[in-house]
Amino acid sequence: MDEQAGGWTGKLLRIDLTTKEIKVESSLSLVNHYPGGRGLGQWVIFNEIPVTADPLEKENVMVFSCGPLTGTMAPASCRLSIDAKNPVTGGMASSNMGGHFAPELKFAGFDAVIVTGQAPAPVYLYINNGKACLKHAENLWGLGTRETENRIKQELMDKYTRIISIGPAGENLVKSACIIGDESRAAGRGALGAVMGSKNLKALAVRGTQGFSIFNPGEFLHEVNQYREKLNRNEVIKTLRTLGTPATIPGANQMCRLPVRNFQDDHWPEDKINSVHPEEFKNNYRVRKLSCFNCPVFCSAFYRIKNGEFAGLACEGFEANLVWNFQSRIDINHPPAALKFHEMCIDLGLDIDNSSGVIAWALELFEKGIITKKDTGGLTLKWGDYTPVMELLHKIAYREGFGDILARGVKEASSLLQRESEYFAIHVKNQELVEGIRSLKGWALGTVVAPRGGGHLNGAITTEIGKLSRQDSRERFGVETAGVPTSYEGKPQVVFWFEKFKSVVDMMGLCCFITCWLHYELPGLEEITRLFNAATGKNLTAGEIMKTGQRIHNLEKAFNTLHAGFQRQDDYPPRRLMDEPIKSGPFKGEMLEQNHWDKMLDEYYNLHGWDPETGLQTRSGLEGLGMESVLEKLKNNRSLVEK
Amino acid sequence: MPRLNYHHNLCTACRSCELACAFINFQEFNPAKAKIKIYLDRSSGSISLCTEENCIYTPDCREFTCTNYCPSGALYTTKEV
Repeated sequence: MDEQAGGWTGKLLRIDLTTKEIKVESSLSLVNHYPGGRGLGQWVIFNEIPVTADPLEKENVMVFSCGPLTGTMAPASCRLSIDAKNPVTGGMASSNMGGHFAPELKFAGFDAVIVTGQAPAPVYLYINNGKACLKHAENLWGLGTRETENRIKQELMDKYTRIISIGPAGENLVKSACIIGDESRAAGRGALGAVMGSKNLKALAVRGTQGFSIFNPGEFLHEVNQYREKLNRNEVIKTLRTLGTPATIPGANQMCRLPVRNFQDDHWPEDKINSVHPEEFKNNYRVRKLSCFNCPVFCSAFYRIKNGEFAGLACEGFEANLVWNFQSRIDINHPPAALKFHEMCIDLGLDIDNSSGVIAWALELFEKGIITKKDTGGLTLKWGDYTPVMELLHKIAYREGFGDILARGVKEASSLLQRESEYFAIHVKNQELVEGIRSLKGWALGTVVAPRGGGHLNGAITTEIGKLSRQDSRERFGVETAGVPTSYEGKPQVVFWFEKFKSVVDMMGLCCFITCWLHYELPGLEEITRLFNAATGKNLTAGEIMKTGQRIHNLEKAFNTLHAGFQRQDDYPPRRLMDEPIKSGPFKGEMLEQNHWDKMLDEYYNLHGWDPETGLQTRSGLEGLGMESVLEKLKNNRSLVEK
Repeated sequence: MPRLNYHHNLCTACRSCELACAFINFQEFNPAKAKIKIYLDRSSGSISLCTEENCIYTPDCREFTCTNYCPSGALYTTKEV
């Protein structure tokens, strides 16, 4: 067997939407460098997108990629990474989704799809067993994502086709537009739905019956079995199997992680949190548990509302962030409304985090009298009143009236509106912040320095939530405080580790929920390394794989420097979180203090080999990672610190 | 002879059974070759399962590999009376 082909299909698709040219290329030189997923995607966009490119013009490049473990029997081998230039931040975007699309792409014979250019009229891409073609999508333009999937399946006469698509929000280039797959999964952040919309690309549909093989099936199966046994023994996995990620909601409130009323507080009163308790959803609305492809955690579920205002609603969903953001953030505690928000976001193709962020900003402005019914087109906005919020969501997706302002995202909208509304625009690197971060200092650091802007899926550390013991903390990270929420001490070291490890997980095509990213007792780097080696025939050490993770993070950092000009000042939390303490709950009084943050950033940059004064990358840091071509680009852009 | 059984309400449509079936029998990751097939209707949330009649007779799969890889306990075997 060709050693290099194990785990990979060895091929990628390259589509130029402008010329309609479709090419099949070898993926092997790419995957040998960055094995897949986020790594492969970031390497392609770093090299192929000009610094001057407008994210919503034809120069932007989208990469849809699998990892070497995607589609294998490795647990939760379902992730599709989507990478492009980010219309919200101006820097890099990378978002990955579960479901069934990515494995099907591998079964169809491709490791990745690279999309360039701009179609003159709406199209969708159909991939079937080693071949691909563009199909007209004028008849799909304007449809929600659920109807889009159904129509494509009908047209192809194949209910087993796997589809990712955009809704009206993506078509209308909304800054909170996402990509939806399997009528339920989302590549949420970074307005990737708007990038697809700008390319007139309504959907990708894939069907594959070719399959692929791996280097050492016996060893691989042994590793898979060991991994599954470890998952079965873990208590966190057992909880996720029962309640899904909503199980974390009461605990998140106890840790003061909810963005209540646009971050006026990070803690919700007990009566409100109890009314959206995961058991409420389970007992009253859940029909059955569901899962992504080959996932032993099955954290998803199907819900149905039988009575009341939203009777008839039936769809798969949701994650904990729905409750953080479309409940506590706008101070609504009504489970049926939460499910309706979820269904609306799925169908309109709107990201829950970004769209709720800009809406919460508008609600606070209305509360403070900064905007009135004159601005909102007659809508009265009030905390806890979900009907006008649903109307706003619709207006955002279609850019109607006040919705056109909100469709720009909270940073741009506040710059446009002014009237001192900027202080209430809670964003990091121009993108809406997802959750309360004042209580957990390491989680905060990882979230704020994340290259894609204001998200916990890079270096945010879960050891504070899991309360890692001092001894375990010392053994794993060389510091004692990884499990101490309010301590700033040692957190940069832990974030540095999590950034590298999460890059590895995203590169492999696995879900982070089956790894020690989620909980320190779960399997991690050693297990993933053994799976990777058995699948591919490589013989890499865990350290070498972590170094590739570090390179990915540096690629993203360099992309941000070149395209968005981000420096040290962009690695600070929103002002409100440094000025106003948490008002209630177990962490009342906590906020992010400037002098501690300054110190954490110094340490964090030093660990990466970056320049503490500017936050920029250095010659020695990049040389140590063997990233000479990245170094040259930064140097030519005068963004490299020579030391 | 054991018999394959299915708890419909426990199935999560993860398709681990399809993947395992094809891998054990053909040494490749290719659910299309599986002798078991799962389909989730996303409008109703209902799941259907079908198996090929001869699925237990493949040489490498006398003990229903699919049940070993079903994480939710939906697939299980019983002895035929």
